[in-house]
Amino acid sequence: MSALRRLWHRLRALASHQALDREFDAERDSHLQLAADDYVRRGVDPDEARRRARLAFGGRDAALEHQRDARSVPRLDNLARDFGYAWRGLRRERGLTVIAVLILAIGIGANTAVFSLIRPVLLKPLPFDDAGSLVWVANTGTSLSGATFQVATYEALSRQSRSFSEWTAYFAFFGYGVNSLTGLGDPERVSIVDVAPRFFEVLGVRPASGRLFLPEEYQPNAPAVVLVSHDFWTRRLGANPAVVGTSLGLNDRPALIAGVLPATFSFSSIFTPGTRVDFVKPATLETMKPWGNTLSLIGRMQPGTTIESARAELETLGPAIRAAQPELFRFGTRLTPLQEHVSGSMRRPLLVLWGAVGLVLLIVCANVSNLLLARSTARAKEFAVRLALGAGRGRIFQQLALEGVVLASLGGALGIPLAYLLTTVVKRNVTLAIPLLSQVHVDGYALLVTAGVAIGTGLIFSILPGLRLARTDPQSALTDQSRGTTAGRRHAWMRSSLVVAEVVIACVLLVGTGLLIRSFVNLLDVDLGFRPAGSTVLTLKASRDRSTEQTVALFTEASRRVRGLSIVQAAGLTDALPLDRNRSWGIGVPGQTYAPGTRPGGFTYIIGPGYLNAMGMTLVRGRDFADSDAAGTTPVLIVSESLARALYPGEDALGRLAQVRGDRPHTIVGIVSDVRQNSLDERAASQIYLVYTQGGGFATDLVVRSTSPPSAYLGVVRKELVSIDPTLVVTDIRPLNDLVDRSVSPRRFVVSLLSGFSMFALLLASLGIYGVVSYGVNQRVQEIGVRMALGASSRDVRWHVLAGTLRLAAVGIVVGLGAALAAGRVIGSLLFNTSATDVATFAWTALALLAVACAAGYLPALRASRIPPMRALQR
Amino acid sequence: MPQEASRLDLLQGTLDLLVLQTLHAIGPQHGYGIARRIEQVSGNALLINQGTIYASLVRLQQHGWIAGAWGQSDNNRRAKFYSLTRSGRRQLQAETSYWRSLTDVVERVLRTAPGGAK
Repeated sequence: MSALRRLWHRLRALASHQALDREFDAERDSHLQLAADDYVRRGVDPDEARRRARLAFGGRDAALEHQRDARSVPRLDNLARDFGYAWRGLRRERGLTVIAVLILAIGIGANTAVFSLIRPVLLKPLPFDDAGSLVWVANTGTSLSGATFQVATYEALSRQSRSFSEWTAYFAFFGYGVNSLTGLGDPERVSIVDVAPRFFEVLGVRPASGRLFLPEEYQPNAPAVVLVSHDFWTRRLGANPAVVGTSLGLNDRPALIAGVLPATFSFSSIFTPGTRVDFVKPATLETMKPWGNTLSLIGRMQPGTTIESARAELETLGPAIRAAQPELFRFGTRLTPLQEHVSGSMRRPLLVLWGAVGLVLLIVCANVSNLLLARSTARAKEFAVRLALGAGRGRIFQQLALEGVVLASLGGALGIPLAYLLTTVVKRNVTLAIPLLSQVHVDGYALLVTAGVAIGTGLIFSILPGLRLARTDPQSALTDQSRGTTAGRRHAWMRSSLVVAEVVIACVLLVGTGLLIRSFVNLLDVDLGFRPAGSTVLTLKASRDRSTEQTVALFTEASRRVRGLSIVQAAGLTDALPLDRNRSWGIGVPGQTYAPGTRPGGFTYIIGPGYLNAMGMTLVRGRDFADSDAAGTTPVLIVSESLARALYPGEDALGRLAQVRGDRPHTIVGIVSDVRQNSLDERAASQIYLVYTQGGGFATDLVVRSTSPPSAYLGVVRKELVSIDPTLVVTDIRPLNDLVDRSVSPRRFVVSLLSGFSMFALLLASLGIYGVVSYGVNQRVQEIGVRMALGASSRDVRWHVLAGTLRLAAVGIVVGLGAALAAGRVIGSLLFNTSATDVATFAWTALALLAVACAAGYLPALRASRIPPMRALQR
Repeated sequence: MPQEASRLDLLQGTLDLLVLQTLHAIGPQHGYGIARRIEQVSGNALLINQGTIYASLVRLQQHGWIAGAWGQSDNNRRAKFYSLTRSGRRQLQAETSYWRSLTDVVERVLRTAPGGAK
């Protein structure tokens, strides 16, 4: 209690420094007066009395300093003075300061950037009211249609579940860029997501301006109304608040802008990272009722409900609902906290990045520490004088720590713009599928963390130089002309261990990065089941006044005509693409009954003739669809290899029958290669291909394959399309490779950041090695001179220095490889077709480090071998 | 360095105890009065500089063991008078008994004859 009270007083004393000094002087005056009075009373004459009083009191300054120490935190009291001193010292050694500050800026800047990047995903709750009670409810399948629900199921769940206070949903199959926007200059393509009633109310999102949707706006045939994303509003509407209440042309119909969504809520960055969603509109559930699984569900749990109890409730409620409404698709429920669903698979990669950037900061500390150690040797005498003059060792330590903090703060100040730049570049990449990217800001909190990191860093890297200088023995340091040998050895040991530490860290980073790069290369190497290179996807659109049959006929004609072009190798229509959104349907052998859960299923594509070739897929057996597979002819089907095996295990599936979703039986006319469906690192799955001319939907994406560059054939293709019908427009053109790129974008992002970090670490390690070796050479000029005078050749000297360097590097590499072996376990789950103990990666890392060490040690070795013996001995 | 620090600590702690005891013995007193009193009682053997007393006074105040207030001295001089607080009284008791047992132990150790116990 009394200790706490004392601390409080001490800290307060810091603030009222001057007032307390005045109080001391007042007391001293009174003291001298009283003492003089005493002497006078004893018969001393007044002048002599005052003199004796002062003598008995002692020196004013000493007494005051004494009292300051007692009343306050003495270290902090001297801060201002030391600060000025530190500043002057750093300015004096400009070269060293600039290098140290630059290194620190990169280290601290990278840390701030990564921190800002991971904070929205890992450290902050989602930008919703009470985000902890929001739950993502998925169906049991892995495809998008497998993970979503029917409208009726959603309605039954939201009506009957007791664990949830409210439910909402959005239409998971909304099209990216499939809507046309008119009224803002040239028509452009935009993405609109349909949300179920009370979507924003359940999440707790309030519009930045305007209003949310009204209940009647969810009814069929209600006038069109939208909410604008904050991004679109600033990008395309000039952030003009007056647009609320006006109309835009969407898909050739006027749509009222009801409001603008807040900057904190970006639908795409939360639910569909790597894409852009410009508008939100009400989903008319009434018209969606006959559809299949299309809704992604979000529920808000009742207060006090745990996710376990909610899970348990839905497990019994689900079968009950199906028993009451047997017409519903079979479904199951998988519950995840919404936060977890959003951060999902990015959690670990981001943590690994955070760890890596922390290691970078460590290596930065070691490096700057080493630089300062070199400087401290030069300053040993200065400090010896200060010690001899009575400065406390604590003070000297404090002085060095302060210099460190000043240095790190400068680095931090420079690191902030760097962090800002990094995050801006990352954020600008809209196809980067990292959740909550729109929420990444280098904000006050990040700055606070940066300040903390800078101060911590400064303290850490000044510890070693501080220890060394505070241990200086003033006498020997002052008399020592040629620098002490014992102190020198201990000093060299300190510097060497720092360098070894740097090599260890660089080694861990390099191995980790190497393993991830290998995984990445392996991933890009996987057999996708299709060959994206050389293919382009054109999204076609016909004017609205055509009937479906007319549109189908037009597209069929377009596909046939494009296929006929000499510059085009293959072309075909499809309604879905791999690595994009997808749906899966059940399939079975007619007449066979399947136990629950064993019925085969496949990702379903509705395609036209030529699609398989245009995608570069391999037809294993049978034939492609043909124009002759029209309505009214025998229903036909193409399946992927694994599906063929699942339907007819051990038999030939070609020519046999299969029944898709209770439809009439189709004949299997072809078997094609399996295709990677959800991501590159997930095993290839089963696929069902139906031909659109036999009903079941219609396809708008024309995949065109050509060996010519896109610039050569796209113009020809477009001209051909216009010549068929002028109203036939191409609304979107994208290389098939874009799908692959988007799918691997998070991995590419992590790998490229890690590569940057590793290269920086390698650079720092080589700088560290160079510094230590050349310092060692300088220290031993005389010794080398003696050796050479006694007959050592320059080669011997070079080798001697280089051998020392390699010894350092070897120790670092051995320890580093061991540490990397342990660290490999952390990133094990991020690897793809690569062992965490991949020998090649480890060997290459060791070789690379040895090579760098050789290069860094060679220059000083060369210098050493060129020392003229006479000059060295005269020194 | 370590020896120096511990000697200083001992001196400080002891001075604090002497100040507390003085205030206990003669009641509220100003800094000069306390310093004079200690000098007189100790036969001028203890304090080198009277100024050092103010570090002790500020420390004791911060602990809340003594309280200070400006007032008038007997001969009408302005001076800051310190008095013992209730917790200061408790502290004095605790420290006195601690000091006694400490010196007792030290004394006993010092009195052991060369050659060890028989």
